[in-house]
Amino acid sequence: MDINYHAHQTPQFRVLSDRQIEKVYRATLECLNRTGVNVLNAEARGLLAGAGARVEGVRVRIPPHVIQDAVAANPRSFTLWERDGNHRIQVVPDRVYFGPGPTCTYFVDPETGERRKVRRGDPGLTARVCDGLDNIGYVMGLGLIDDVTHSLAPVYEFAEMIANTGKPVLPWAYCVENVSDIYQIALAVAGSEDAIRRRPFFALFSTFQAPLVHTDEDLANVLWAADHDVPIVYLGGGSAGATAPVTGAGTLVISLAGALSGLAIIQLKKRGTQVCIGGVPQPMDLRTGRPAYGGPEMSLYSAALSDISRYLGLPFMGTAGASEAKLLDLQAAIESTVQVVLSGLSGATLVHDVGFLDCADIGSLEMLVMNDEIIAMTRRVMRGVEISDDTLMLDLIDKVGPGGEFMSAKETARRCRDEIWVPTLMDREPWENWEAAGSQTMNDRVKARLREILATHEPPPLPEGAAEKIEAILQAAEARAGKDQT
Amino acid sequence: MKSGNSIALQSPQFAILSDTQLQDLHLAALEVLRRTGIRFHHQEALYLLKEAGAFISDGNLVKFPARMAEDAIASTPGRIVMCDRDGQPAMFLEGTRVYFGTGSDCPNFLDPETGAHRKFTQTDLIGGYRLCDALPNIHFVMSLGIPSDVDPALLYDTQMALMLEHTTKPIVFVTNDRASCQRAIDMAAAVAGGFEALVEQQHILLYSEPSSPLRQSETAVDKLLLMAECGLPVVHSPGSLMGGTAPITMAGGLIMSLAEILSGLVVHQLQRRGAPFVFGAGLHHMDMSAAQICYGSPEFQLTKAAIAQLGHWYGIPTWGYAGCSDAKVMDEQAAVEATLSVIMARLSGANLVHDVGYLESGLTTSFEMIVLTDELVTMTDHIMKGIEISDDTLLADELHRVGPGGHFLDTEETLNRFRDFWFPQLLDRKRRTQWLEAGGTTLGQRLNARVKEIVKGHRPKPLDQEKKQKVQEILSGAAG
Repeated sequence: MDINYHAHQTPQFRVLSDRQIEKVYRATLECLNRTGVNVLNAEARGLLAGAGARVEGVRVRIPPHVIQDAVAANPRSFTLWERDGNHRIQVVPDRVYFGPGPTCTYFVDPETGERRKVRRGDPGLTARVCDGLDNIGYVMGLGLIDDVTHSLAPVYEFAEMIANTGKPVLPWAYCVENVSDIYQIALAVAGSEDAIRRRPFFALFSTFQAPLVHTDEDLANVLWAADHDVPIVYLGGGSAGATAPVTGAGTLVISLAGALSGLAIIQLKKRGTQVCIGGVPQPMDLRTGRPAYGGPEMSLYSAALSDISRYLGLPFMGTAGASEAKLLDLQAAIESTVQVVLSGLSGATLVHDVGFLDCADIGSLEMLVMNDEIIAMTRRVMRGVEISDDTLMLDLIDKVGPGGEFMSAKETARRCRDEIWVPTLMDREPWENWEAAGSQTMNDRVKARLREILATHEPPPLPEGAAEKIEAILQAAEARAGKDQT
Repeated sequence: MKSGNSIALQSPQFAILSDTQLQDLHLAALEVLRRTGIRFHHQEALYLLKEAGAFISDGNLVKFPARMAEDAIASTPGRIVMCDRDGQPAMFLEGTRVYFGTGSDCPNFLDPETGAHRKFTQTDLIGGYRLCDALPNIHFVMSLGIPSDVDPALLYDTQMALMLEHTTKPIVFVTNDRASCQRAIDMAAAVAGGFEALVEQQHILLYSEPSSPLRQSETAVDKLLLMAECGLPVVHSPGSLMGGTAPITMAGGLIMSLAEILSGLVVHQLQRRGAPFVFGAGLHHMDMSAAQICYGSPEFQLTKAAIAQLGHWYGIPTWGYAGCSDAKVMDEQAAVEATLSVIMARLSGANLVHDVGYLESGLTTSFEMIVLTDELVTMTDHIMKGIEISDDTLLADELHRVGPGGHFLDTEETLNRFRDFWFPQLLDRKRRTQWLEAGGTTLGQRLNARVKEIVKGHRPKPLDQEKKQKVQEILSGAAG
């Protein structure tokens, strides 16, 4: 029996030490107490004031204990369910799930390959493809629908997503009416408020602004969600050199200050609300004036925020599978791989934006499919090397001896599936076989796999009557929107 | 004021194995050496091993007491400094410093002009060495390919002569036997200005392999002993297949590789105590359906990281792999596998990382892949820098001055530091309209253009005529 045995069950990866994390956390508490945040929602300001924050106009300076209390109040772990209640994801630091992102302006048409505005039906396709991909854990819409009543785009998006996947869905919203409509749609699927409360299958995705601003609409949305026990993802950026200080450390402070002050507001509204904080800390490329999604710094800072969130016991939303490239090329592959590997190793909980091209301007289902394979590959790396008497196989080595072979050993047959990942899109054939099969590039294989999923994958059907109820909710929303305009 | 007991991570921290797991692997390998043993097909080695206390049975089956392996580890130098052709230090093989170089001996080449998949020629090799000479993040060269327009008997001699002439970077070479290894040393000595100078400068390093499972061939040990005798560095790295020539588990593959490396090291150190040795193993698996060795697999990333960690644990310079893929052409798969491998190489800190440019499981070299890896190295530099957390970088005062809703575009610190970020050379971040104006190219197209530009435009520092003459004489001697 070994004593003092310290085993790495998985690879160990960290960007920040505990003391560095404490330093960033303390700096964040100091920033919130000294500089404060602009809170553009009156109810939220009232909640913070009631807890001891100092309010001057919209500026709210939050003392450390309010933040610490919010961190303590947030559940360390919560579950997002599949709508049939079977499959679920555990939102807890170090469990990693990947999913798409929201609101791209353009979409790569899966039929023609053309880049065009997002249409009705696209988020449904996205959801169906996600449903068919083993390594995508949850669903977002990948595009802002352009051909519907503008103010209702997120509601249409949710209605399409929920009908086309069983996996948990992350909707977003412009306003409380949207959130309420989304909730009604979920209710039509779940049957009762209690069912949603017991087994939530969606979480509201909402954002804060950098530096240090919470908008009225975003706060109204999350307050409504908290009130109805809907889990919340609260995420924001910080673009180093533009909306955050130019250093990584300063950018971490901006991101964390936004997330934690938001968390405080939500926990003050309803203690125990299930919140996943998030950050998209990016470098800005000063040559283009755009944040660089594909920059190595984005992955590095996100991994650091993941370290910090784990330390605080908060689930964290990271970013991966999002490239600067304009189309699915080698650059898209490189940037995705860097992001997926570092998000995976850092243990970010919900990793989003899988499927983005051109700096979040284009949603691409091909990109989603390619990343599914990169994620699978990364998952194998994340499992590490198992060291045990069983895997060291000293007796087998002795039995085979110098110059023998292991191919026919029964242990090889028994363990090869566990030990060795088998790719579906990566090619490993000899050249002749590859040529005989049509000399396809990975790009060709990705497209073929996408076509196959679109042609064959059937998501679990909605419960009976739900589709009609959802249609009625959409019509009522249209009627309200029409009235608002007149 | 500095706070007490503060431990900062200067770079990201990454480890596959814990100290106790490393020790377990070491002890298990010692048990393989003690119980199962290694077959040495080499008389002189058997004599050296017997003298030093190994148990020999069945003619050539050598079993080792633990002391012999641990003694060899203890006497192996912890660092090797390799110099360029001019004798200037180029690579410090120590700690977790990482250097990248190509692979060797691919039969096939992807022609950057035509895209054709065809046999290598000498002209291709020269182009490749020039390319490596020009790329700042390719630090050493291996032969790249097997030229089809050379007498097979002179293959390795020709590669060595061409590498010495067409790049100043350090060389990792492969040969088939003791005589050609001696000629390689002679050529390098001629270029260095004498044998003494070559040994001092360590411009060349030999790659050789044990024969898995658990055997050392006559030619490999011949070369190993020759290099040890000369005091020139070697890497004696098994290339075994989990589920074929090694157990199916990574742990089993690792201890078998370890036993093979350590048995080679024992005989190497017995030949000359303190001779420079690089620790490495390529532990692949065989894709069962395709019957191909996998270079791009996640398992290979794990075993190479584990090997690097073992090498660091022993305090011996380490050998690694990156920039290689199983893809047949320069496609997205090649990019994914290259990226994963470069990240893992950087995080695990192997010193000499080779096989940059391999496609098709090491049967084809692509120059575009080499240029892509060069770019990936600069990208991962910015991951390895980590995040500096200090009062200087937290910028709390600046943050307070800007306040909620402001911007940092023109602050003093932004102007001072925005160049700290990585600016890619080949990856594109333009706005779509500007990208279209610049031709709307894919990365694959830009890589190809860059390859052609360098191969056409770059001329390495010429080799002194007299030295070149000497190298040619040795080459003609081999032919005669």
